[in-house]
Amino acid sequence: MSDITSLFQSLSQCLDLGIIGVDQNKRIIIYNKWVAERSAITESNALGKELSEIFPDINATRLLTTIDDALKHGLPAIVSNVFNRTPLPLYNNAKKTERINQNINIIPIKNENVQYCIIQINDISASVDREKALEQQVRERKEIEQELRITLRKLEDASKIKGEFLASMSHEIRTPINGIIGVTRLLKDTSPSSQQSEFLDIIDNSVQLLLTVINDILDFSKLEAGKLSLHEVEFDLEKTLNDVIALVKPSLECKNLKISNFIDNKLELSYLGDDNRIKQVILNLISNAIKFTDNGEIKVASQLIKANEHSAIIKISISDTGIGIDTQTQELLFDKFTQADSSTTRKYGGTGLGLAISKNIIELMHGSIGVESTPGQGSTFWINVELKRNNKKPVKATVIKKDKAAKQSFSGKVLLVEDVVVNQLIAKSFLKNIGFNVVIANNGQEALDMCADQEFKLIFMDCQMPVMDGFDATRHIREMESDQRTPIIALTALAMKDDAQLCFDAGMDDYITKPYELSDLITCIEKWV
Amino acid sequence: MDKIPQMDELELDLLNEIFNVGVGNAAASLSQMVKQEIKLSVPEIDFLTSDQLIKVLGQDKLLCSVSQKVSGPLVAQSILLFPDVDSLEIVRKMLGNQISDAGIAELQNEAMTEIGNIVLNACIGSLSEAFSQTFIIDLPEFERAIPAILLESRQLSSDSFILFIRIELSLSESKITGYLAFLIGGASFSILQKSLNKTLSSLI
Repeated sequence: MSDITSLFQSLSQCLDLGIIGVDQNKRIIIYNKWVAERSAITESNALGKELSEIFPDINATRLLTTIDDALKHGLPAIVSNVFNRTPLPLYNNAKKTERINQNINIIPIKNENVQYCIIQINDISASVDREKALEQQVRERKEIEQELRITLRKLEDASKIKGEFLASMSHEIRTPINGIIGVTRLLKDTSPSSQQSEFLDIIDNSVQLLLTVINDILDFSKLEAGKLSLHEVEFDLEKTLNDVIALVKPSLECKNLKISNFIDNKLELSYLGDDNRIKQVILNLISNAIKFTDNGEIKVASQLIKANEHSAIIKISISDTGIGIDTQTQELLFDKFTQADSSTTRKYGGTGLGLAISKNIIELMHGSIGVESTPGQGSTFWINVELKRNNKKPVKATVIKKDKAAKQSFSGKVLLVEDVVVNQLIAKSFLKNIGFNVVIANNGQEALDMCADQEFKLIFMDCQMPVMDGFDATRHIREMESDQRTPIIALTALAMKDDAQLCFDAGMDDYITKPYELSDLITCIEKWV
Repeated sequence: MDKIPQMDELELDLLNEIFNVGVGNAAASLSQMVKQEIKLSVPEIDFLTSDQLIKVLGQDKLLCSVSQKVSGPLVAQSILLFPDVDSLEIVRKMLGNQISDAGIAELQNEAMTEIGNIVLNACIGSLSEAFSQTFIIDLPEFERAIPAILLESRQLSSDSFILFIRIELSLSESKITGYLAFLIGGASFSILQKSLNKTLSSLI
């Protein structure tokens, strides 16, 4: 045995792993150089000693149990670093500061019926360090992800608060604007002097501009919140374009610009889609063309790109002979708050939201928008939209001309439910002008009381009022009604969320958004009287 | 192997008891090692063919296995099996929650090898003690595969069958089912039976 032991001892010296051999009494019979160097115990000091004598801290550890099992039952074992970091006091440096990470194999060997045990030690410190570093990286990445999640949530909250703020601001701003517009119109009917007329026109135009800005901001916040939805109605493309051109006529005349409207004769005119949004985009593009053109002509052209049984792709382009836009700026043009350059903002005014809104609306319709331009020679803005073909009977355009509308005459008693005195004044005079006898309720509760003992042809209902709001009042009126249903039309400055739906849910039949024009009022009344 | 040799009730009782002792020791060693209470239970011993075992384990189920070959008076392949997912759960529970999923997967091999080694050693040690015999046992080997592949590489002889034990491991509110399988040939089975009877006669 001693021959074999000494052979094994010599062999083990050249291994790059630790070898300790013990006999049945756990006395050390092999102790290689690798272990000697790392334990700072020389071979001659170790040999013949009991294992726990030179390594006292292995008592009552799994390592010692496995050695016992190996000697008693011949059971081999793995003492891995996962569960046992550093079973033996072995060090990689002379200072003995840090124990090396070990993977230990316990190998029982039987010779001439005597059981021996070989303890084989691997130094895995390098791979443990590598894993620790990786684990640290993973932890750090997780922490960063967590921080990002928190930041994202904060941003979402902030965006929500912004949306709510805009909604309430819009209501607060629209209400006084409604007052200014209404009273200006009323003043115009009081035979003012020509100078006063001119001043009133300035007020009117300024307020209209202010309203456009507010509507732009509102639309944009709706688009950002994904709350802008499209409606599908039958509409006539030619009428839509003509309506827009009629709207810009005063500004065209002001700058002495010509406008032409060319419609491809292959285009049919009746479609299903959100004509109001298409109108908004075209109006924005034409208004821009007018804004940046000092002389020459604006050309509006519509052509059919492709059509099938159900839909048609239509290209509408608006060309001007204005200042033009360089290629670099063209790329930024559809971003929010961008105008061709910051100085243009001063010179030409505007929020810089128009094109961003237009782009979003057109994309919502699965269409595209673009521009071609040469500085100094003008620009052509175009949209491509796919519209559903209206296979039913084409709509008959119902045009209400303002001067005719003014003469429109109705009769009967209507109830106006409105808490703001200025608004009462405006609505009352509009309604009186077209022939109605107007009764006023200052809030929902008053309206309820009046409905209990009077009959009305129509009820105009403000939505937000003290004491009882328009929604509750409508619900109560509907409960009170037996067989005759009085049409209730909401007059609302609410412009966010699904306001229309709120009105319908409460039992109202129609709605008009403040500020409104007399023609809006008449169009609506005609539906219900 | 179409016919599985039978054991009588006494033989089975003793074998069950030997494994109970072994698994009990294993639970104690594991608990001590990870410093939390780990329980292991052995409900019943069964004898199965390879095909039956594959069916019990689930043909396509990925398993992780630790095996140690036993030789000496009898020859057997001892295997501890856990569904792969459950083995990760065991490692996670034993090592604590501060290690990432990737880290746990990285340690699965080493950790399961040691756990398997402890359980298998305890059972083999219990057999060796009961029969007063010493076996020659190889170091544990770890492998992840589906049952058919795991068994194929460990088949000992054409007439081998499986001494099958379902074990339940409970640790910190989880109960995980694993399996102990001893692949054993006809000749070794006879030796096992003889050893059981020898022990039984010394007890009576």
